[in-house]
Amino acid sequence: MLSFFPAAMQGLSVENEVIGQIHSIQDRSEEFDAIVIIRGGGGKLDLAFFDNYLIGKAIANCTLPVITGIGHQIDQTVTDLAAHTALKTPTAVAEFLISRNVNFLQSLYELHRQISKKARSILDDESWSLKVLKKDLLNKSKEAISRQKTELQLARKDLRRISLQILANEESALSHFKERTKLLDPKNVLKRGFTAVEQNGIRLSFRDDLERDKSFSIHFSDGKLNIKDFEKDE
Amino acid sequence: MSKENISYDDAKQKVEDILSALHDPQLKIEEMDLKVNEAVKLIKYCENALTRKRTDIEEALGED
Repeated sequence: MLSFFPAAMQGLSVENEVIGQIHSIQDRSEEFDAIVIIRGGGGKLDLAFFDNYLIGKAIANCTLPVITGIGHQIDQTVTDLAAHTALKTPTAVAEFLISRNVNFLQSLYELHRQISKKARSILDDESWSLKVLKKDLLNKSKEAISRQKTELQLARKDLRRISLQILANEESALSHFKERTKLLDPKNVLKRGFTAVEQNGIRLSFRDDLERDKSFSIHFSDGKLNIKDFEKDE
Repeated sequence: MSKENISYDDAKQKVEDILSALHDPQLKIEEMDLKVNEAVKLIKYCENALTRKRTDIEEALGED
């Protein structure tokens, strides 16, 4: 953006007005990139107002670059000498600024192109990395699931084997119980030809336990026999 | 005692107790008969429980 700060370009007011406008621009320096002082051609005396120490000092102290284009090709003033860039004519200043802007825009375009290219490259790289990570994650997940599945199958087999072994042990214990019950079943003992004697509601194991003059019973496999009178050998 | 209300372990323990008791020389023949009958029933109950358990295991864990 260009802003116009008018000032007298010849006569006694040049010093005050030019310096005043330089200070005005300096106060708003964040809004501008440079100060341009231009004046079309004129006589030596007209341009002599720019051979001014205070104008030169103001330009030297200014934090913005000052570009001058004062007079003709052959003219050079103190103002030109103090400037950052002194060009021969206002036209030359315009060409200089346009050229600088074109170069600046071209460099911006080039930077834009490089940033875009770099950004695409980074995105492509990251996209590829993500694809590799995704594939790796998928493979590792499948491996983990497969491993867990195998472990579960082994655990199921172990559980089944152990459970059936416990059942077999219990069945063996029950079988043992059945055999013992069969052996202790009095009916089976009596069937083998043994008998059991009971007197007064008590099973007798010894002959001497049999009391005289009291009835007793003998158990056979097919029933019992009650004995009332008997003799006992001494 | 109802067998349906007894656990497998309790039934098994009961059989063991009956088998020990059958060695008592004071036990009358009729009493021995009763105990033997009870032991047989308990053993049958335990066998059925094991059969059911085997079926459960096969259903849950499958066959090799």
